[in-house]
Amino acid sequence: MGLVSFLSEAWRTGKTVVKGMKITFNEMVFRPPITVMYPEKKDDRIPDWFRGIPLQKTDLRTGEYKCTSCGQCVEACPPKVITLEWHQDPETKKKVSDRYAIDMSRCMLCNLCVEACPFDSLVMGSDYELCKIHPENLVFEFEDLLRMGLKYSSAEDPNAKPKRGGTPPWVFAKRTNATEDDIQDVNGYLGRPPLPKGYEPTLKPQFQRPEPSAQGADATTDGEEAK
Amino acid sequence: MVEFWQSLPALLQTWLIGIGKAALFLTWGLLNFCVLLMLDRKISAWMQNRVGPWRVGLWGWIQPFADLFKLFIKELITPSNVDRPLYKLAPFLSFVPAVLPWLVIPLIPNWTPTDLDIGVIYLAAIGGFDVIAVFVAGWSSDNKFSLLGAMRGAAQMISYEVTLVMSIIGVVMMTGSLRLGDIIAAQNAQGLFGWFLFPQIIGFLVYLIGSQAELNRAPFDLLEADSEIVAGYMTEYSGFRWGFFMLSEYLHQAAWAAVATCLFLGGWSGPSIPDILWGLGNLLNGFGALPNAVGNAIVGAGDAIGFLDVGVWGILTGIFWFVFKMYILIFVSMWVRWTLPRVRVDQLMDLGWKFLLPVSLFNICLTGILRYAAVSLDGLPIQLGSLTIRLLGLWI
Amino acid sequence: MEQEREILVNLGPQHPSTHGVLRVIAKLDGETVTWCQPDVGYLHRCFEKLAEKRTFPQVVPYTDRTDYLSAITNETCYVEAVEKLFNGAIEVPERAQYIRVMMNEMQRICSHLLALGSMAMDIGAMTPFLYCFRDREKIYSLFERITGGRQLYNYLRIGGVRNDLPEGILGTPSDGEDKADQTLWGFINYFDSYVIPQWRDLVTENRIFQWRTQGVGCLPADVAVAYSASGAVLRGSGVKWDLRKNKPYLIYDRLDFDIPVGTSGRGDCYDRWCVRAEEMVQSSRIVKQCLEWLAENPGPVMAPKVPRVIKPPKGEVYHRIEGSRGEVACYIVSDGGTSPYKVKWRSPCFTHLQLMPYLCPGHKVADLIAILGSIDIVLGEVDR
Repeated sequence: MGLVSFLSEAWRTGKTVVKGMKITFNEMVFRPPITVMYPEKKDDRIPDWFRGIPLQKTDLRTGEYKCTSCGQCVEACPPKVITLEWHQDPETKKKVSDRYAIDMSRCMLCNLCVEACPFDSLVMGSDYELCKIHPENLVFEFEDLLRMGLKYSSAEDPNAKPKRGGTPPWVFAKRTNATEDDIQDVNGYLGRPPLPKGYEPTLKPQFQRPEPSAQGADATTDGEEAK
Repeated sequence: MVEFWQSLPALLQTWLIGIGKAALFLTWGLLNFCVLLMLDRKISAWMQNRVGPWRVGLWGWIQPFADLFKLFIKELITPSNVDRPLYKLAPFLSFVPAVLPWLVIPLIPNWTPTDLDIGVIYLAAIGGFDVIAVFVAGWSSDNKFSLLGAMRGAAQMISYEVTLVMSIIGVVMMTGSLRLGDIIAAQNAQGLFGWFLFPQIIGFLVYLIGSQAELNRAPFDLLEADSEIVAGYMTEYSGFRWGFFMLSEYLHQAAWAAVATCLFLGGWSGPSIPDILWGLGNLLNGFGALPNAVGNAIVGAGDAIGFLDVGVWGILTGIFWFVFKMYILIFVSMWVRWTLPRVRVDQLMDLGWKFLLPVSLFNICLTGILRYAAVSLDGLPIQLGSLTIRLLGLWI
Repeated sequence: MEQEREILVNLGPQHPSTHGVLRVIAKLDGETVTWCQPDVGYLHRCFEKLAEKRTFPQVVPYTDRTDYLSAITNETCYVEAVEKLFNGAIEVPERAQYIRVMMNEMQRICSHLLALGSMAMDIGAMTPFLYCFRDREKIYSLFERITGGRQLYNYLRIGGVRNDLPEGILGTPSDGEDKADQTLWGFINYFDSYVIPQWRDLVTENRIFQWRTQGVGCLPADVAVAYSASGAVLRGSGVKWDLRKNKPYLIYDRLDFDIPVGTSGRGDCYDRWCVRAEEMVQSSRIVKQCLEWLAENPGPVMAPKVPRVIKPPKGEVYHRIEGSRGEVACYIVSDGGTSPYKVKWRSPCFTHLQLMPYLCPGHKVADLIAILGSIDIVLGEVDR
């Protein structure tokens, strides 16, 4: 009958409306907001291996950068944002980088450069705040990359053998929070080109060991490479 | 001072008083607007697990002032093909009927700015005026989306006008007077359960739905359906002209909530602090049957601050309860807005004409029958009739 | 002079409810749509041409970006296609297959949440959209732990996946809502117990929502098949066709799940909505089975002896998978070099947009928006 269907439709509508309203009331009163008050509070549950911009690591033991200008990252990069210019140092016969720059405005954070680097020099940092007023400043030069990459740098063990199998180190990067003061070599500096083979650094006093350990692995809070 | 006042000609006195009253409720309107704007955003934010405006002022509550300031200093862009006189007139046309209802609403106990004997009819007439503003805005904007919004708006608002007025008629029948002050007095005469909310529950629900539609709020916000026609009739307005539309929308909402408070929720009636204490004490004393120390102490406390029951304090209590009830209705309206999806235009017209209008007519019939039964038969039937109504109200 | 009764309206590229930069031109007679036509191309980024200049592994991040709301499914399609080109020389280990399936299904949940949320917002209910993003955030956090990226992953590799799941991401079956953004079991339990009932009560059973979507945009089954609809659009019309069951890829033939189909027989927006909502439930079933298997079976995640430089033998392959929005397919021609000779991407949303001129006439403007929401397009995929 018309009246019955009229009333039942009204009842059904009212019931579903009230049910919906109960849910929003619950959400309003009993569940806290999930807003993170950026930028005062940043969500610090992001893992260290979050894919932010690619950065360059430094060997804290000698202060030299690990990049050998091999060009693998330049080939691996899909949007071709890495610029590399190098010359050969007459003494050490190693390539010295003249210009290494990454154009972050085009970088798509795909991580292929890090995977291609055979010397474990590139790392995906967790930086994601890249606002600049002039777009030219989004091209990060080598010094910027090295400075920002110090957070992921550690003192390399010169005698360590590369690990085979297992998860490659470039996948789960670990943040060490190192700074320029953690460069152990007395003559070391940020942006130091690769040194001749067999170079033994003169360590600063705070880094000298009372007795040399067999493996040379250091236990400072600079962090340790996953061996 | 008084001599200066009495020296003025009577006409000037009337005018000055009128301007004073206008200033008063314009200020009240603006204050309401600011609070309502914030409330809308904050309630929607809390329902959506977020915090809403946060940075401006204390936890974001000064946001509307910042918004108003921004709107003031914005450029008023007038597109070249609009119908200029109508385009510039429309915001004012929408503002005026938002402010006019406050003339007859007794915000302060027993005082209205203008005591009209035909208060309810006046309100119905003002409500109909709002359609013009929407239509003028949509037509003059020379924009197809605005036109769509305006056409929908005209149809919607006119339909729900009828329903709204029908739902109020039940209240008028129970009081026998069109004056809002009389309606409130009739409710106060019987205490809490005398509120017309209980016997007129059908009318109240129809009024709630109808006022949502009249105010273009979800689930009936087809006029400004963001996802369909951008901003509907307000698309081409920028700067403070748009601010005017927003102002009038929120003022309308406050006005209709205030009207509902007067008609259904007993207006400014509500217990003052001494009343609460006396009531609690009486309850604990078993209404005089089982006196005990705690109950007596509470009653004594009530006596001590008994001065809060009369005079200026009584007025403040009245204003407080009025505003409190008004804001509860506004909260319910916002709650519904942020929960429900939008209905379509033809479904809206179905709802208005085929559902709400028959229901409100049924309400009128029912009220009439019950009143006739209560009045025409003496003695026991009257008691039964009003007891039934009261029980019905209690049960619902 | 006869005046036209109909107005020509342009729901332009900038519109609050076109899902990206889509332009819809419509002729309206009052409120009724008499003709409508979508206009695409505003997001064309030359994906197919770019792929010809990149090596095979370098194309994977670009496939992410076609359907950017459901990235892993696109990667799966491309990577599987390239593996097919090798004619069995590359054998993906089982653990990698299970991880791929699990990621695909989690991505399906993620994508359907957004589809439902944005359709609800188009219909007018603003709150479910925010709830959808609350839950998507949790999935982002989980994927961030696994792959490093939140919405675009570059996780699948030719021959397996990039890395195994990190420690602690699986969790235990008894994890609750507090671990919903840290462990996979936590999320699935929270999803089953809280999110699905919330969507059902708030939107699916809401009578006003049903008024808006029932009877709107009816697509009969034969017309759906004729237009090459796929995914939820096809299943909403009653055709029980899902590539995961009909043409199984990865290891879907080992898993136990159902295919929801539209029940009302009309193939309207409400059917498509219900199909998507039910698919989320089935996806969570699949994820649970994968999680159980993954917890017990460690192993390698990359095929042994994958060459450093990928040079598939000459040939061509057409591989299709069940993406979140329909059938995603990839046609690769290899000429033996390091770059593909041709990559053609078949996007389901492009095919579904062609349904608009069929579905919309006769309905109102509000219904046009509802129909657009229900066929669930992503412009990145339409325009590639």
